Amino acid sequence: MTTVALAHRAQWPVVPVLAAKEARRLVTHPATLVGWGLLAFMFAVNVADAESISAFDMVTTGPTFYPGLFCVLAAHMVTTRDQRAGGGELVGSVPATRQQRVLALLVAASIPALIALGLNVAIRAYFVWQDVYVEAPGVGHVIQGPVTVLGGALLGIMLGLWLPQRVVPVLAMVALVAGSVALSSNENGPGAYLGPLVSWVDWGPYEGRAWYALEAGSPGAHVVYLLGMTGLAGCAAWLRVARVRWPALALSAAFLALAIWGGVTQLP
Amino acid sequence: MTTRSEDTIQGEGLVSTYGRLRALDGLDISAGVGVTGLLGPNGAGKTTLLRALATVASPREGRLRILDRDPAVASDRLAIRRALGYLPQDAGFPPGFTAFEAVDYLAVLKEHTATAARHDEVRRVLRLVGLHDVATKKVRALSGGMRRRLALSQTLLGQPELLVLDEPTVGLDPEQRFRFRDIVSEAGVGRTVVLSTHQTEDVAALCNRVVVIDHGRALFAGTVPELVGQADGRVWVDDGRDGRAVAAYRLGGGSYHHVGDPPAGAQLTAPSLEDAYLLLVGPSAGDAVVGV
Repeated sequence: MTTVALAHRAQWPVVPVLAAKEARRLVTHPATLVGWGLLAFMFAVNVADAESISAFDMVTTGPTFYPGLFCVLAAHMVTTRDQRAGGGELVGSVPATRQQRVLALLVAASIPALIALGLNVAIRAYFVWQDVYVEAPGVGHVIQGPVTVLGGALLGIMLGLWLPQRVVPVLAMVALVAGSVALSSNENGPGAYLGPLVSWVDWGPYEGRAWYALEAGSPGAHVVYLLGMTGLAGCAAWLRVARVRWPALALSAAFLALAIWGGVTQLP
Repeated sequence: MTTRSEDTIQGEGLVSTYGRLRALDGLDISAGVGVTGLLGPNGAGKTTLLRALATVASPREGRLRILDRDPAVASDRLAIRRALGYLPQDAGFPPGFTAFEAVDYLAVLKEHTATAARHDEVRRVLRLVGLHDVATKKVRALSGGMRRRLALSQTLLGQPELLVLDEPTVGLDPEQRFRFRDIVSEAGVGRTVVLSTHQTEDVAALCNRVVVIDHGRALFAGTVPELVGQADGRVWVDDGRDGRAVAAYRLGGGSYHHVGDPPAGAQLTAPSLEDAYLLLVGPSAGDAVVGV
């Protein structure tokens, strides 16, 4: 048998190279761009208004409601891209395994979150510089939004792997918004802390035109709660392709414990 | 069919089923260095066989060895995939990708991870199939023939030892088919190419070996002249259509070309590969052979 020397055999592991490509597609996906665009628009509105409450809300819920929400759709579309294009057979015959492709997607999901974190730090710094805040957002407040961006991307990947139908991410986005509105409708109830949209500012009796107070509760524990939920989404995605399931199940149990601990601890 | 130790592909008694349908029904096959063509009517089992050779499906029964490895074993399967270029029947690319991005993505999946070398390789294969001028065009803007060439280009990444091509010339115009023949015949030097096609002209032009499959079994395996030789004395021309022929069609000049057992005194003519194929598979094959 003739053996032909193969050119360009792997010099780097496939996952980081693939993750970089998937991250670029995730960040520049039209759905994500809509989210970034809306975030930029809301920032411009807040710059014009220069109100402490809405500027605080911009940092806590802005990344969640705009890029975070649209990341669900973008991640779902990136995950199901090959299948929708009819390329499943092609990618099924290559050396890179499905596990490597999913791992690359999970790694890539962190990039929109890191960008959101960078933007959030910059937005906070701008409003601090402009002396808009009566009370500036703390570390937990700044981190929670980017964590929900990560959660949105992982949720989209997870849904893409388990439910690849096109309508699924749209239904998920509607459910997330409706669920958040329902949970936050009772501002004093514990449910208000369990959704992804927690503003932490009390809008008070002045319709947000004057600083009133911050909500009671622990923003740090809320971040832990969100990380737990986010980790669960990642584990659920991995379980779809895992050859050995027990590590992912064990990790899921750890994230569930984290979510429960954070969920309870964050309450006033 | 006997297999030889130097054969790249050795399959014995292969069985694949889809529900009650036996797509492969105890198929024996072997293929070595050079171009092997698979001929057979629709539903004969060609695609099922090629999917098994591409390691995307496993035969239910039988013994299959590819590049002296067992595709049922994970480490062997990986080694086979590293030496494989596969063009499936339906090879879709994300429409929002450019031609370059589409092949580059597959190059990464084929473990070409060094960026500069990978980009050079992508440009090389796009040039080979004549798509280098449209490398920045979106897939959605490419014609059907261009998309087929794009799919063909990714099979050439890394100059794989084994090429498995399922109906590679579908959608290609005559000029593109000519170019395809050039690419595949070059690829067949020192490597193994297995291609399935309905185009007997492609097989006649390209393949040093041909395997005819029907109902999941190999009816013939040998060289193209050997297959054509089976039709010697069984092709004739007559002024009218002869109902006893296996297949007949009207020629441009008004006479009829017949395949089958000729009547006494018939005006015999030299058989083509298509004639031999029709005689082997029977009249139902006429549906699958272009030009009949």
